[in-house]
Amino acid sequence: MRILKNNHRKLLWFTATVLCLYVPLVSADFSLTRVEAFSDDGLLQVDADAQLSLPAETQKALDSGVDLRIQFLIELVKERNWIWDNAINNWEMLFTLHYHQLSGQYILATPVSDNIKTFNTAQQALDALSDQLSFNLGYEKSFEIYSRLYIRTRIKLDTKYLPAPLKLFSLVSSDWKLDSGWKEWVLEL
Amino acid sequence: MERVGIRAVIRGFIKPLPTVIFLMLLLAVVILLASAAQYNSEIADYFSHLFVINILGVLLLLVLIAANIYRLIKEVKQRQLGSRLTISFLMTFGVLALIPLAIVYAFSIQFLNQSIDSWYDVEIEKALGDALLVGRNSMEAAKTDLITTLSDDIAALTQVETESDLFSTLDEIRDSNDLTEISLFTSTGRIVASSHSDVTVIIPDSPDERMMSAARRGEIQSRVEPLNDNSLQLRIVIPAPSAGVDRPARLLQVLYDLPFRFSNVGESLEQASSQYNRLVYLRRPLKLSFITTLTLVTLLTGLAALWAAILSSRRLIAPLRDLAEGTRAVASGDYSKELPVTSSDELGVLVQSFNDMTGQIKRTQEQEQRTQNQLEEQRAYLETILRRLSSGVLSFDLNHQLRTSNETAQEILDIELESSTNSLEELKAKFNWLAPFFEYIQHNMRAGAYEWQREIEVVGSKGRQVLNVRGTRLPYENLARGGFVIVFDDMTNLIQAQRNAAWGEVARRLAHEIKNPLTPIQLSAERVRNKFMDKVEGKDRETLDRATRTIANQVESMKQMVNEFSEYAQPVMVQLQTLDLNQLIRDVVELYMAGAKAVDFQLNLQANIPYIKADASRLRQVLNNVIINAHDALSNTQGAVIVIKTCVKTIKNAEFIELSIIDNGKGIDEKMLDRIFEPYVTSKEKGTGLGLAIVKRIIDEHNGLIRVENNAHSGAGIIIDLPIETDQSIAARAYG
Repeated sequence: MRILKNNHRKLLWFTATVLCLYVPLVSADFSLTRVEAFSDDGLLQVDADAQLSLPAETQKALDSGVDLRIQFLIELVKERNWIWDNAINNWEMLFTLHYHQLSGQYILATPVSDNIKTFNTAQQALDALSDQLSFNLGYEKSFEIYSRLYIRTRIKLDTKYLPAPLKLFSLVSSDWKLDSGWKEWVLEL
Repeated sequence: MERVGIRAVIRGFIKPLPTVIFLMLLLAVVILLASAAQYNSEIADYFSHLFVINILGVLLLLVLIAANIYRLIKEVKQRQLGSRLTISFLMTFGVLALIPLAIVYAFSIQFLNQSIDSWYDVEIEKALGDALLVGRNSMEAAKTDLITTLSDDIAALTQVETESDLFSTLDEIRDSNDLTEISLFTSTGRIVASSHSDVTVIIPDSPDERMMSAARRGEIQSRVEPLNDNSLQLRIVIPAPSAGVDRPARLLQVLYDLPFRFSNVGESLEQASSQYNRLVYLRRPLKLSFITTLTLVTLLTGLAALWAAILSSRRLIAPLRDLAEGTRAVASGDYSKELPVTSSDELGVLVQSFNDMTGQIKRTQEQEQRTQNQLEEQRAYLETILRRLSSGVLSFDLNHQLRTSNETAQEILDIELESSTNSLEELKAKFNWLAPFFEYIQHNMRAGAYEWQREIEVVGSKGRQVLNVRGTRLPYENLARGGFVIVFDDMTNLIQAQRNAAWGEVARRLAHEIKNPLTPIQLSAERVRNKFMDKVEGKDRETLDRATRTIANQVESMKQMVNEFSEYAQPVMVQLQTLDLNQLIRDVVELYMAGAKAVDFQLNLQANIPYIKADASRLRQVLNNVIINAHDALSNTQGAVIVIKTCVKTIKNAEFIELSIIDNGKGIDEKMLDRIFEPYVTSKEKGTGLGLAIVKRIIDEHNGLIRVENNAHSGAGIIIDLPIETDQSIAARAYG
């Protein structure tokens, strides 16, 4: 019986460890310094500033031809009293960072708009990405039916986009856990 | 049997179904993980989830195996049947499954390392590096050429005075150099003029701030930029001096699409280089990922095999263990155990046969139990009858061992028949006063008589007893069933009662037949005397006087005898009252002490004895009769003494007052001793023999006991025990 209890305890510890590794952690390399939502001619606009940088290992992977996809996630959330908050709608901006070996340029691409920009360094590309964190959520009136709303945003490295061999690393290595965590902005309509 | 087989097959199919489904799910997850680990898998997005699920699967299997092994160890420690065999099977299965798996795993790891290493070649890497360098140099050369060419054009551009000339000059430069776009900016970045090969493009593609600032410092900035269509574009920013001193410096930017041959080769080179570098970078993660996946798959497979081995071992051993337990249960007499039939194979048939066997035994046992119960009921019934029977019953087996006896037998014989003394010889030795009784039984049993009957006299604690003994040999087929039954009754009281009744009848008739003629005889004798006494003289007168006197005396004597008979024949009616026995004795003895000087009366009465309930006149009569008898017995005795004693004694938890009247006369003839209380039994010449008979009747009416015994040296004694309480049940209890 004691062995079984010990096994259960070990199982709990192991599960907790795996879950801790599995749950994306907030990284110091990615952070949102400002989030703001405002109305612009009746359109609800979200604008954010981010400080983004790559750890050495991630930079090395990028320089070796591993493309990085960065997600900017936006959620419109309704606050609730007794149960978890409900996400009414969510949006996603995707940016891909690629290193062009021949030209030595870093290419920042927005897949949705097919717009690419080239930069001498990855950091320049990331800075330029930070300037693009602006999103139009739609008409403000369409959200007036809700009360106690807030917007939360998050920027993170999309580990699902990584090559399969790196996915295992992304589970356990902090070099690949690039995540700002959620940052909220209370919406007053 | 066929029905059981089908059920067993269905059970055998359903029972392991959850295990099979679980193992199949694990297998599916393993396959998916292996697939997701591929470089360009479609389910690569789910790799993390599958990895975690596999880890949980491994964990779950570990827990299951650990629990099973713990249970097995516990069973071995508890020496449970089949546990050691299960471990043997498990070890065999485990070795058979795990060793090949380990070998395959080791070879797979080695093969995996070698395969991945073989993808990489130093020569290829060097060639790609060189090609990349060549490509970069080519582009650098193209850039240098273009910058050189543009130097003259820039000089021409400084001479342009008007804005319209400026646009046309830019067009000329663009056309002459086959440029995509040429733009002129102020040092602050404002557009001065621009020309694009596509007329629809109005706003020029501005350089970034870094290039602009470098150009402002007089540096020529250039770079190759990949475009959406995989072509390459050369961007050059050159400081462009103004025509006059008063005019601010400007910056010229040209965009030049590298020729197709450049772009095409460059793109190919880019892709090849990028892919190879990526592969080089992913070499270690790839190995680690594959090895981890392989390890996980191997672990999962091995653990699943081990778990399956445990379950299979248990399943295989279960019928054997059940059989062993069943056999043990049968050995301990439990036939109700029914083993579960879990399969239709040979083991299932064996288990079913065992169940059939135990079922049959159980039914037989139940039938035997019912028979036993019936026998017990009959036995209890017989015992009840025997217990209620007024006759004593003993039964002996053919070896003369006492088998049964009823309570009445023990009451009549006044013995306790213990189970330890159950042999006839032992009984005879232990209860020697019953020797005639047991010898008679033994004699007839040895003779093998079928039936026998006789009255036996024994003298024991109850005095003389007459037992009517009847014996019967039991029918038998073997030693266990044969034997003898002895039935006996205590006839003592019955015979005594018959004698008393006979004597009572004699007394009644005697009184009736004799007493009536006595008075006419007496009157006639007196009349003859009165009439002829005065008429005769001399010898005749003396003869008449003597004869009539004799007749009168004899008639008087006969009257007295008849009265005594009448008294004996009449029922004794006692009127109980509380009295002090010692005082009564003193009163009676006082009369004799005054009249009989030749006899010394010694009273030895215990002080403060309890009062008793008795009829004072009857007890006075008892004392008179006994003292007279003692006095008569002392007629020719020198130093005659009559001792009268009282004391309290306890007989079997009941208190009695014992009254003893002892003389030192010649004693009583031993032959008369047993019958001294019967009528007409007397040693006196003129005694009627009714005195002690009447005494006994009175004592009986007081629920007392009377006995007579000769003293050791001379004389005899009458001992009377009177209960202190007159409750008959106490007396009955005391005397059994």
